[in-house]
Order: sequence, then C-alpha cells, then structure tokens
Amino acid sequence: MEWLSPIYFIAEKIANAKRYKEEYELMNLAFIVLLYFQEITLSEDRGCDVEEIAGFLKKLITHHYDKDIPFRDALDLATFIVEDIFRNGGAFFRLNTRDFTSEKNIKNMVIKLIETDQVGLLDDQYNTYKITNLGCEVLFRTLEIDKTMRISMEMLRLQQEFEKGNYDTAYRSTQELLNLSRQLRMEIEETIRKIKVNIDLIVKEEIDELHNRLDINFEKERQSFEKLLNQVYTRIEMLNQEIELEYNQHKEKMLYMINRVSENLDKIILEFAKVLRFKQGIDLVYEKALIDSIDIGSHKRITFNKLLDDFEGKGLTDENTVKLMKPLLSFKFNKRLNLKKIFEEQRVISENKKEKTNDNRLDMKGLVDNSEKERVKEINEHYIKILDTLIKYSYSNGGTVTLSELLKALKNNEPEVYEEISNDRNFYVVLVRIYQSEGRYINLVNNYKTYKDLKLIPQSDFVFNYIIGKLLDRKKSYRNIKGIYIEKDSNELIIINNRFKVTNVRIGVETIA
Amino acid sequence: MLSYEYRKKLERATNIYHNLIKYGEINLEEESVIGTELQDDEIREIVDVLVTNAESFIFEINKTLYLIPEVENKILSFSNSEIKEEMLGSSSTYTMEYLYLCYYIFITFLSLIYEGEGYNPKTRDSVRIDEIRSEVDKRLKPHFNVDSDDPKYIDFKIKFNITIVSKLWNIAEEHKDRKNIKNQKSQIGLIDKTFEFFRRQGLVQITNRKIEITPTKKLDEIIKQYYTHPGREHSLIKLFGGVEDEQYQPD
Repeated sequence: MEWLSPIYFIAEKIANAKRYKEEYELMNLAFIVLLYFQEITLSEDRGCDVEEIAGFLKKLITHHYDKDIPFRDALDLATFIVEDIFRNGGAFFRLNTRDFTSEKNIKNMVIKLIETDQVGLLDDQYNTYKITNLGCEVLFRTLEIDKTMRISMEMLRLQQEFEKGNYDTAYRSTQELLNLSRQLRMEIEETIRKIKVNIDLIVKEEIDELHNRLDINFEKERQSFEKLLNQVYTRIEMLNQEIELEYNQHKEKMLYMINRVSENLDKIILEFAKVLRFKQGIDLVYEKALIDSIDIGSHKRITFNKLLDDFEGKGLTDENTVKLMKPLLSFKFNKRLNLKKIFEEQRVISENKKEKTNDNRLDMKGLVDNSEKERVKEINEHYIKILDTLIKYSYSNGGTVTLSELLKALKNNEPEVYEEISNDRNFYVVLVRIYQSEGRYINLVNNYKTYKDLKLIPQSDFVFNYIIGKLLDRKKSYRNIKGIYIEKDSNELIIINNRFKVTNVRIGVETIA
Repeated sequence: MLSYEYRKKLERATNIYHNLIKYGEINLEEESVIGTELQDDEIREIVDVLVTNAESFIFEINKTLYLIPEVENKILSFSNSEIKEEMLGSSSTYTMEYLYLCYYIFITFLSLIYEGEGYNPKTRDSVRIDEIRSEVDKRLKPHFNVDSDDPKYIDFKIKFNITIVSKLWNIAEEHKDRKNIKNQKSQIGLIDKTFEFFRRQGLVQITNRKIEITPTKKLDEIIKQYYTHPGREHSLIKLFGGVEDEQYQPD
C-alpha cells in the first residue's frame, strides 16, 4: 500500500497551498504533470526540465481552461507543482510504518514521486525531473490492472494484432510494452538503490515478491519476445521480396510500421537483458547491505544539529575550529607539513618509549590522552575475547558451528559471557569483518606473521593482524589453526535479544594438516 | 630480512601512499596501474597501515581514492588564515570572524541535509539558498541581544562563539537581489562566498539556476564515513569548549 501514501501527501500539500488553488484544479494539474513525466521518462528514457513542463502546461491551460497564460506565469506554475508539491522544497516525504519483526520500531520510509538530475554547464546548471517507480505505480494503479499480468496481457494483444496484420496497433502495443519493461527495469534499479541507501527502507518481502514475479513470468515473456522478433524478421523479409516483385504503396507503409515494431522489440529485449542482470545482483546487494547494517544499526549517529547546539553553548577555539573543518578540505590545504607539531609529536613518542619496557609493539602514537588509551585497550580486549569465543566453540564442535548453535551453547555453558557478548555490537562487527573478507576467510597464520613483522597500533576499529596476533600470543594451542571462515547457513534470520537481526551464519575453523 | 617479493610490494605501497600525501587523491581510472596494485591484499594492507599511522583514512568514490586527515591529525595541517584567504580573498575587509560565520553557515547547511540518526544520515537531496538563510537567521536571532559582558562569552580562547557569529550576522546587510550583489558582506553575499568555496572543494554543487545547494557524493561519503560515524562521536564532542583538553598557546 506504499503507493497510496503519495496521494495523501500531495492532497495535503494542495490543501495547504496558498497559491493557484482558486484558479485551477490543482490536483488534476498535478496528476497531468505526473503523467507527462511518465510519458517522457518511459517513452524517451530521459528527464525533462521545468521549462518543458511550463510549455506543456501553457498549451493545456490554453485549450482546456480557455485562458491565455503568459509563459512566465506557466513557468511559475510549473515550478510550484514540481518543486513545492512533488519535491516538497527538496525535503523528503516520510512515511512512518510499524516494523512487525520487532513490534517496537517504527520504520521511516522515504516517498519520492519524481527524482532530479542536474544538467547543464557549471554556470547554468538546472534540474531535470524523472518519474520514479513509485510514481509509475501510483499512475498504473489507477488503471486497476494487476501488476503481474500487465506484460502478459499486452503481449497477448500484440501477438493477435501482429497475426491480423494490424501493424499500426501492433506498434502502439510494442510502445506500451516498452514502457512496461522500462518500468520493470526502473523498479529493480530503484529497489537496489533503496537497499544501498538504507536497508531499512525495504523489507525482505518486497524483494521476495519481486523475485516471484520475475521467476513466474519473466523467462516465458522473454522467450515470447524473441520468438515474436524472429517472426517479425521473417515477415519483413517476405514483404521486402513482395515489394521487389511488385511495388505497392500499402505494402511500403506496412513495411515501415513493421520495422518500427521490430525496433521496439529490440529495445524491449534489451530492457529484459538489463532486468536479468539486475535480478541476479539483487540478492548479493541485499545480503551485503544487511550485514553492513548490523554494524551500525544498533548505534545512533551524532547529528549536525547536536554539533550546532554544542557550538552555540560552548564555542570553539581557533585550533579546534581547524580540527573540525579539516576532513572537509582538500589536500591543497592539508599538505603543508607542520614541523613544530611533528617535533612535539616525536618528543611525546620518544618519552613514551623510554618508559616502556618489553612491549614496544603497543605503540600508542597519537593517543596521548590516557582515557582514550584505556578506551581503545578495552575495545581491543573485547575483540580478542569475541574472536576467542568464535574459535573455541567452532573447534570444540568438530570444526564448525552455526551462530544459533554457538549462542545456545554459550548461554548454557557461560551465561555471563553470553550476556556480555550477545549485547555487544562489537560481536557483530567481528562477524561482519570476517564475512566481508575475501573468500569469507581469514588466514590466521599470515596475520600472525604480519603482526610479528610489523609494528602495529591498537585502534578502536577491528584490525585483524593486531587482534589475531594478541590472541595467538596468549593461546599457543590456536597456532595449529590455519584460518577461520564464515559462510551463510540458510536464509533464516535470527533475532538476538530483540535487538540484533542477523542472517544465521556458519562459523568454521581449518586446522593445519 | 624481507623477501624480494615483499620488498617490492612495500615499495609499491609506499609509492601509492606518497601519491596520496602529495595530491590528496588518486583517480584510479587515470592511474590504472595503481588501481591494479591496490587489488593485491598485501599492498592494500600496507597502504592502510601507512595511512592509519599518518592519522588519516582513505575511501573510494567514483573510481577516485581520497585521503582524509583525522581530526586529531597533527602532521597534516593548515591555518584558518589560509582558508580565509581562499574563501574571502586577501583583502583586510574580512576579519577572521567572517570566516567563522561562513563555517557556521556551512554547518547549518549540513544540519539540514544530514538530519538522520539511523544508518543513512542523509534526509534530503538539496536545500534552497533562501532556506539556508532563514535557518541561520532562526538559529542566530535569539542571540542578537545577548549581554556580551557575560563571562561565558568573553573567554579569549573561545574565538569562534555564538555571540560573535550572531552579531556579525545581524549587521550583515540584507540584500534582496542576488544577481547584483554590491555589498559582499550582506547575508546572501556571505552565503554565496561560502558555497562557492565549498563548490571548489568538490563538496557541493550550486544547482537549479544557482538557487539550490546539492551535496556531492564526496561530501555524502565524508559525512557518512567520518562525521556521523558512531566511532568518532567522542573526538568530535571533545572539540567544543574543551580548551582544558588542549595544549593551548596564546597568540
């Protein structure tokens, strides 16, 4: 029902509009403009700018309202409809929905009917607009045709018209099919974009539904198009031969139309090929985004509003202002080496080194603040404990264990460790880091060697060499383990402590033969 | 003794690191050899270690690799006067306080675009310039009449503070016609200078016939991977008012 919400938003925007309400039926004009976007986006596969819409509105108003509207006023009206109504002044329309998996969370979905693109040269850049898949959906829904049947039904019509030799109608039918296949491709592209931007914008059922739809009809439809294209080629050949034998104006016109049918069929098959490519990638993208989101999902981010509040309350020194802005500025500024500070930095390190005895690997360069040192040390101890738990339970379970089995065993054997680890987002960070490694595999032997060869700094992020090195230094029995891997066990999602949602994975260790 | 192969990898990684230090970014399409070299896990890992040691981090957008210094980076540095010259010109017309006001305008813009607290902080595509101006105005208006004798506001170390910024904003002359900005110190004039500077830095685009500011993908990534990254909250918060944490040297 996501498609219903834009109508609500548009109705609300129009109800609150202070302009044009008296002069025009704004709701009608808004939907006509949306239809215009659809026509341009799907038929011509491009965006259109506000001047083009103004031209369209000027014509429309002149014909249907019998009113001569100057182009400048039409431009104002077009800008109002596009920017103020559809784009809500650049701010996203947001739809709050309940997340049924946790029962507590409210999902915040972004609703967009049109999307923008910037074109033009640097000094004269302007926006062009394209309808989104949701926008198409709103329009198609008003026709009350079931989504899954649209292509099949239109395909049937095309075949019938082609058999009858009605090439004009067949051409119009291919145009409609081209629009539908472009919409299908846009729908998949948008699903992938939504997954990448924020996995919370999408629920797994949407992807499953998309898959089902494509699995049932897609291949059959694709084959039908190819078969029909072959028939079209045969017909073109026949017509060419007939015209060569005896020129006929009617046949010439038929040949022209059938060639256009063939061009459209080519484009449709191309769209289907694109859909197939995206379809194959969608699961991978979803899986990656899901596992990435575990990392950050449990934490709220700091906002710039909070930074502004802090600034307004406390202010900044000149030096700290530079620090705050530094990451934003290019190296044109940042490349100047500050020798005085390097000298001070070196002095701090040298003094620290004098105080150190044996462990010169724990080089806390840059972390001059003791509380920061302690914090980083504590985080690293967590990481070591987590990695230890993963290896210990996989090893004792015959070399492999699923995440759900591991958590169950941990809960029974070491309830305190279970409480600590299962509520610690770092546990999921470690899983994600291993899962994201090449081949989902971490070579313990190589990492331990690097740890011994290089001087490493403990960091708040998970650094394999350092964590593995520290763990293997403490637990010599682990040195006969070659590597640790994580693979997806099933599509089952497990919810841990009503907080973390994660795909059940299998953790395994490989010993040195 | 390092093996020959490892030594070669070390050389290649150091070369990549030097290029990053020198130019701040590497276009991996133009420098395809570097792109290929970075696919080697060991080379990539050495580059990562070098970059981390230089208190920086790297990320890739649109086939370009960027090196970004961390807040606490003490090696790579610049001064506010250098930025002021680049943003507002070398004329003495603009005092350092004008630069602070421009920073404030830019952070306000960031607060409008990146409001989200969840996985993706970005909540909108663009903001119109007039909206930025009214937001800055809304935030600064309550401070126009603050008693500047209040000890809270006279700490000489806290140079970038709300009293200075709001007073400057208040006196910045209103100028309605953007196309004929005669007074560069007007609110719109300063907004223009701010975003023109950040446009040159590749962080924003001034779009839709110069009435709208749109963040670039580079800015999106810096915000997502840096400013709003949960792991950096502590170091950012520490910057505000926290002179006691600093080895502060008066000018």
